[in-house]
Amino acid sequence: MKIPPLSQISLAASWLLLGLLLAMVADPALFTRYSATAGAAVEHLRAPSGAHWFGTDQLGRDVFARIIYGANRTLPAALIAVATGLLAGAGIGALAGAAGGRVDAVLTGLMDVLMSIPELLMSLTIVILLGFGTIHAAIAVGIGQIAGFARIVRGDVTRISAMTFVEAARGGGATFAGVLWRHVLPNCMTSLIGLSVLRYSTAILSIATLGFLGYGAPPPAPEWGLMISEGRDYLATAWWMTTFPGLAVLLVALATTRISRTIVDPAGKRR
Amino acid sequence: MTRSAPATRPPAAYAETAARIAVRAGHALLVLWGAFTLTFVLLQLMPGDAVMIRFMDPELGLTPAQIAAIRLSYGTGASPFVQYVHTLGQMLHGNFGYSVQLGVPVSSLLATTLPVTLRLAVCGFVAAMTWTFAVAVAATLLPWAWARGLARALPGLWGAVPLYWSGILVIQVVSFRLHLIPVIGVGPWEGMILPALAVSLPVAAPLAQILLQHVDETANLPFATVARTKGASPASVFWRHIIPNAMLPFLTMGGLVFGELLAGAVVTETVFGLDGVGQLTRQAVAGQDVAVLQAVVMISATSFVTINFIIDLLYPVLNPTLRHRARRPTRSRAS
Amino acid sequence: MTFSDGSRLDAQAVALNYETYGKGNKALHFPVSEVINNFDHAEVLDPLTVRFHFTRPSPGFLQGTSVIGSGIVSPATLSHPFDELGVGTQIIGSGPFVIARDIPGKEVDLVARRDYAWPPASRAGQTRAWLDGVKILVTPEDSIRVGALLAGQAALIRQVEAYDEEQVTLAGYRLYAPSTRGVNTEIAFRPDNPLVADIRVREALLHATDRREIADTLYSPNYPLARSVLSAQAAGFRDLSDRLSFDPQRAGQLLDESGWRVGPDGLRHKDGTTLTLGIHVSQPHPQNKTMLELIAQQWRKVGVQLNVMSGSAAGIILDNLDPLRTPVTVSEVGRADPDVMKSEFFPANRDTLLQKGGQSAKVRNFHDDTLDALLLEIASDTDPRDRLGRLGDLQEYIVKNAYTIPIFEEPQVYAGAPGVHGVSFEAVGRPSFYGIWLDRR
Repeated sequence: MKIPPLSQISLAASWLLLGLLLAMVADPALFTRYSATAGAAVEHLRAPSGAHWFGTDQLGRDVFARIIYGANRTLPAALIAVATGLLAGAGIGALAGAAGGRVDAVLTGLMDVLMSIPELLMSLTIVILLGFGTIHAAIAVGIGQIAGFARIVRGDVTRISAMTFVEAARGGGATFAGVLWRHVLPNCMTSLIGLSVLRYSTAILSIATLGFLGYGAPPPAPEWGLMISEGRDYLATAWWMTTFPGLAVLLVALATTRISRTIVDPAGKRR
Repeated sequence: MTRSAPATRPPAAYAETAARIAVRAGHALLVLWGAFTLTFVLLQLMPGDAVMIRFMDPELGLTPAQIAAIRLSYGTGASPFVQYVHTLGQMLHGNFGYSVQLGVPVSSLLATTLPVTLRLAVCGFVAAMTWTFAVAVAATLLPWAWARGLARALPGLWGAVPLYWSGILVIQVVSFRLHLIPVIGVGPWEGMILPALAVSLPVAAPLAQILLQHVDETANLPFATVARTKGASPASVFWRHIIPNAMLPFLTMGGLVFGELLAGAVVTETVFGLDGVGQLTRQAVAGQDVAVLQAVVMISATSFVTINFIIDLLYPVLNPTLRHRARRPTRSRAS
Repeated sequence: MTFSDGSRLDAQAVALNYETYGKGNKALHFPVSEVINNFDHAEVLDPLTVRFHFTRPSPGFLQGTSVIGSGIVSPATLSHPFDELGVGTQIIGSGPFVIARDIPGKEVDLVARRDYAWPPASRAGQTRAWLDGVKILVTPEDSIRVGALLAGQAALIRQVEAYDEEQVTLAGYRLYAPSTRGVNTEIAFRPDNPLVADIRVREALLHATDRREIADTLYSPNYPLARSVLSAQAAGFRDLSDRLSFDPQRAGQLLDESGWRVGPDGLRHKDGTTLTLGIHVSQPHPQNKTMLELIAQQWRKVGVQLNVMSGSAAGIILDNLDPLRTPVTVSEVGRADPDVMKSEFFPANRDTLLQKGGQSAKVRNFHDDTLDALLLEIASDTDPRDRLGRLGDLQEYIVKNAYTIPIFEEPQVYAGAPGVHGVSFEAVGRPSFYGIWLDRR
C-alpha cells in the first residue's frame, strides 16, 4: 500500500516537536534568554516582535519563555495524571474483567461510584484536601480518570475473554494469569493506547481547567492552562497572550495523537 | 440481524430476565448510596466549613462564640455520624436541605439551574452525535484516501482544542464582531446555540475515536467481508452490518459522556455565563456548601445510574459477540 | 410613604430597623451592623419622630444611616430569619424600584414602583423612576461583559478593568469611575509575625514598593496613586505622599540595619531564617493577583521573597487569621466617614493588623493601645473639626509605624452606552438607577 507523503511529513513533524519538547523539559534555558517569572514591567503587553517572538504579557514577561518553561511544568504533570489513571484503572479493570464474579461486582460498583460523581467536583475536592499545586492537581485529574480506564479495560477483557481463542487457551490448560497476560492484555492495547493518548491531552486541559478555576500552581508559575485563562481577559487587546499557549496545547495534543496512530496501526492500513 | 422474538422464549427466560433486572436495580441503589457516602466523607475531611466561609467574613465582625452558635443552629456542630444519618434520612425524603452560602433551599437552586444544564446537555449531545456520525461516514465511505485521512484526524483536533479558548473566540467573533447571536439576556434556546457548539466538539472527540476504532475492528470481521463478497455496496455494509456492531462500546461511551454533561459543563457555563448546575457546583465547592454539593452529586449519580441501567438492559440485544457466536471470531488485528 | 408590601413606613418601623442594626438579633441570626457604634436603643416619640439613645457619643451615626446596608426595610422583612433573606425578593423596602426576581448570584430584575412619590430633596419633582425596569445580569467574564456592552447587548456594565478602558472609550462609550472614598487598597502588615515585627523591615518594604510602576503598568488615571491611608476624596484626608516614596536604596539600608543580610541566593537571611512572606490574592480587587506578582518582583530586588499563595476559601480565611501564615494581607474598605478607619483597624471590627484579643485566636503578643484609643476617640468625638484633626493624626500614626503600604485609590469603574443618560453614584461608587433615562434616537 502506498503511503501518501503528507502523512510521513506530519509524522516527522510530530516526532520533531516531541523531541523539541523533551529538550525544553530537560533544559529550558537552552531555548530562551528571558526569565519566565520576572519581566520588565515597562515592556508589558508588547506585540510579537524580533525581541519578543510571542510578545509579552501584562507584566512584561516574555510569552515565549513562559511557554518553554511551562512545558517543563505542564507536560510532566499531565504524564503523572495519565499514569495515575492508567495504572490504577487498568489494574482494577483487568482484575475485575478477568476474575469475574464477586470481585468484579465489588470493583465495578466502586468504579461506578467514582464515575457517578462529577469528575470536576471530585478533582476540586481532592485538590482542596491535598493542597493547591500542579502535582496535586495532576493527581486529582488522574484519580478522576481511573474509572474511565477501568471501565474500558474491563469491557475489553470481558469481550476478548469471551472469544474462542482465549477460551481455547484456557481449555488447553494455560493458567489464569498467563492467559490474561499473553492473550487478553495485548488485545486491549489498541483501545488502551488510544484512550491514554486522548487522555493525555485531556489531562493537559483538565489541569489547565483546575488552574483556570484557581486550583493549580500559585502565581507567577508559568503553566500553559493558566496562561490561557489569564490571557483571556486580554483577548481583545493582546491576542498573543492566549493564542500562543493555546496553540502549544493544541500542537502537543495533535502530535501525540499522530504518533499514537502509528503505534496503534503501524502499517497505516486503515487509511 | 433479527432480534429473537420474545414470544419464542421459554418462560424460564422471563424469570431470568426479571432476576437480572432486579440485580441491576439493586446495584444501582448501592452505587447511589456509595456516591452519597463517599462525597460525605470527602466533604467532612475538607478544612473549615460553609458557616466559617460565610460568617467569618471580617466585614460582619462576629465573635467566635456567635459563630459557634450559628454553626449549632445549622446542625453542623453535631458529630459527623449524626449528621450523616440525618442528611441521608432527609435525602431519602427528597429534602435536599439548605444552602448555607446563599441562604436559600437547595431545591430552589436546582429548580433554576437544572433546566439550563439539561438544555445544554441535550443540545450539545445531539450536535456531538451529528459530528461523530459525519466523521465515521466520511472516514469510511469517502472515495478519496486523503479525505478519509483528514476525517480521521478530526477527532484528535477536536479533543485538542482548549475549551475556554475556543469558547471565547467563538463569542468574540460570532457575537461581538459579526453581531449574529447575542450572548447575554437571550431566550433559553437561542442562548444555547454557541455553548452547545462549543461543548459538542470535546464531547464528540472521544465518541468519534471509539466509534472509528470499533468500525475498523468490525470491518475486518469475517461477516463483513462475507457481506462484501456477496456484492453489497460499501454504504450498505457500513450501515447494516458495521454500525450496529460497533454500537455497544459506542453507546457505553455515549452514556458516560452524557452523564458527564448532566453534571454540568463547568467551563462552558463559566465562559458563556450560563447559570446551570456547573456554575452552582463551582460556587458550592468554593464555599464548601455541603448541602448543595450532596444534591449535585445525587443528581449526577442518579442520572449516571439510570443511563447505565438502560445500557445494561440493552447489552444482550446489542452485544456482537453474542450475536455472531455462530461465526468464528478472529483476532481483530489479524494481518 | 409605604413599603412595597403596602405597610406604612413610620417611626415604629424605623425604630425596629435600628434596634436590629444596632444590637443584632441572635434568635434570627442578624449580626450587628459595623457602621453603627455605641447604640443603646430607639424611642418612638410620635408617628414621624424617633429618638436614638447611645451608650457613648456616636458621631458616625448620621453617616451610618445613609450607607447602603442601612436601608429601612419593612417590619415583616425583619421577622424573617437572616438566612432567608438571601433572596432579594424577600427584602421589602420603600424605594423607587421593587425586586421582581432574584436568582442568587446570577440575575436581579428590578421593576419601577408606579406609586413612588417621595424622592430625595436632590431630585425633587420626579415621582416614579424614568425606567420601567432594570435587568441586572451577573457576568463574571471580563471579555463577555465588555463585549456585550460594545455589541449593544447591555446598556451599563460594572467593573471595567484598566486594560479595557481604552477600547471602551475609543468606541465612543462613556466611562464612569466614582471613588470609593475610604481606606485605599493597601498591603497591611501583621506585626505579630516576628518577620515583620521590626518597624525597619516594614518601612523597608514600604520603600521597596514602586507604586508608580504598579499604577503605570496595570492601572489607569482612574486609579490615583494613594497619598495616605485614606482616599484623597475622603473628609479629613492628610497628604503623606513624601513618606511613601519609592527608595530601594533606603530599603536595602533599613534591612541591613535590622540584621537581614543578603545571602548568595540573593535573598535576605538572619539567624538561619529567610525573609519570605506569604500573601493571599484578594479576589474582589481589580487585577489583585497581577499586582501582587508585580510587588513580588519589586521586593525580590531588595532580597525579599513574597509568595503569592492560592488556597480554598476556607483555607484562605484561616490563613488570613494567622499572622504566621500571612504576615501581609491585602485590604480596602469603602465608606465615606472617618469611622471607616475603625471598621478597618479596630480589633472588634475587621482587625486588619490582627491584634491580640481581636478576631484571631492565633495572635500571641501584638496590640497597639495608642491606635485603638485613637480609633475609639474618632468614633465618639462629636466636634467635627476636632474629629477630622484626630483622623489626620491617625493617618500619620499608621504611616509612621509603617503598618500598611497604601497603593492606590480604588474606584468602581463602569461603562455606559452612548444613549444612557443621568447615571449617578452614591458616596462609595454604587450606581443609582432612579435618574437614568434612555435616548433611543
